[in-house]
Amino acid sequence: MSSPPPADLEVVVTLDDAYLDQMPTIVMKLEAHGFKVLQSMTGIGVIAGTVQPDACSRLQNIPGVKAVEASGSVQLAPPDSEIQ
Amino acid sequence: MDPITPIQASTETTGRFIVTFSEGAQSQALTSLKKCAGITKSQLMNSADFRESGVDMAQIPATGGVLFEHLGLAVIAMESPAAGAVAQEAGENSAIVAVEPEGIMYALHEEKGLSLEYLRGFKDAAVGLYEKAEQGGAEGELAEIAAAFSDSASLTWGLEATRVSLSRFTGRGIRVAVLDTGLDLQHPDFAGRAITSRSFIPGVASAQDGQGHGTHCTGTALGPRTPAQGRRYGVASGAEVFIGKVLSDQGSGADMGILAGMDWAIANQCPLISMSLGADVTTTSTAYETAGQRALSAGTLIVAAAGNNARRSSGAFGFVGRPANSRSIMAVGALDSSLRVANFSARDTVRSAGTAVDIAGPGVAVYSSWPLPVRNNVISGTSMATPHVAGIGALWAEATGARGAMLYQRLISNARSLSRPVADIGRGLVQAP
Repeated sequence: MSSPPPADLEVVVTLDDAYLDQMPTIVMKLEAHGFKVLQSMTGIGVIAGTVQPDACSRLQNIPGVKAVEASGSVQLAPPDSEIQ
Repeated sequence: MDPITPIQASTETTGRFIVTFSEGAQSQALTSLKKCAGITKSQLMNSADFRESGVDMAQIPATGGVLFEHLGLAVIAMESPAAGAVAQEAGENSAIVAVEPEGIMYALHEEKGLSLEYLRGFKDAAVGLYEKAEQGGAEGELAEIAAAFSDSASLTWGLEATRVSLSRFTGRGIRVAVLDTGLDLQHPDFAGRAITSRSFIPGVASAQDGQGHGTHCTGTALGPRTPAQGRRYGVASGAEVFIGKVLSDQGSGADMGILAGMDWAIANQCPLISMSLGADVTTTSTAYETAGQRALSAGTLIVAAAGNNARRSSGAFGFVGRPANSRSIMAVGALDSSLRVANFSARDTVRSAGTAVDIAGPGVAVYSSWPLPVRNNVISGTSMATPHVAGIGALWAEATGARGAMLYQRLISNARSLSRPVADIGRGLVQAP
């Protein structure tokens, strides 16, 4: 019996400048490693999506990928806080 | 968020210094450089000589540098004592506004020679030089006469302190995107205004603000010149309003939505993006850093809140969070109405090149719009300082036609110097044209 795979991680993939016009090709290469696209952002050359945690290093090795980072989040103070 | 790929950020400096001139004072500045550091004009290559191929920094002589005439600055290799002597001369009423060590950045593709590094290298170790220049008054309150502003019947203190009240510019024809919790689209102070809005929150169709923060920030950046009731609080009353809801009504948002909002604003050719948001994370993010750089290349300047994680009264100075800690994004600190650094306003204590506070804006007891039925509210934060800078950026964009890195430079070089550490307020209090 093998344990179930870990949950997919939400990641942000940043493309190298030289590959900005090849986003569809890079998306295909990312998908070959199980990456699921949530959003392609052509203006900033960033692709958001989900992937198995252990696949991140393989994504990083795809030519044209500048960085693979876990997607973070921000949280404002409650609206009745004095400091916002 | 912890990056999977470690970021190669460096705290090193290059040994070169960035010398920024006052507007139109290049020849006097060159005279000062010769007097203080023995650098003559013959030791400075002119960026124009490199033409389209851009400046090759490897060609800079051991002592000497490059003059960027259009930017009003020079990057100069010189010994620290010489730089210190120049820094002594620098100041608000001097031909030289500032002297700062040039930081070493991690690999970013350089386009056309002059990249952000020479504008954004300003961020870091300037503190050392600044304190040298200040000598004696390094810590504690200086004997500067505090200019105290206050809200009047017709104006907020912030519009007075930034001289928005005196400006004839309104940001007409300039698109300003506010990425936040949205806007109360029924707010009477925005009635009749053309508003382009979009939600980046999954499952939420409208950019309607159910929280308040976004309506307050939008009000400061873009509110009307003459509200139907109450004092004026908005900066760029003539600018086009772009509202990206990237934070939910609970005030939270993921990087994906924030980045998507930035992408949307760039696609819509907004010269300014105001982001009063951030996470208390000390590391930088390649995604934000790169997005900021690509935004500048596309003519979009991103302004973000430095963060509220300081508690200065308890001796805690905090740090500039993400994404404001990106070199390519302008980080905004908060001042109170006596132009003192706000208790909560984050300082650059990380000392990584590029992660510092760049500029400051009014951020304590700021009156602006709030979702109905409340209508108006007074709150504090670097979130409130940020839209002052974005709105004033729109005025500069209208007044000068500057975009991207040039607009960044306009805002920085025209800030009002104050006797406060660069690590707290960057170049000083933002000023309207």
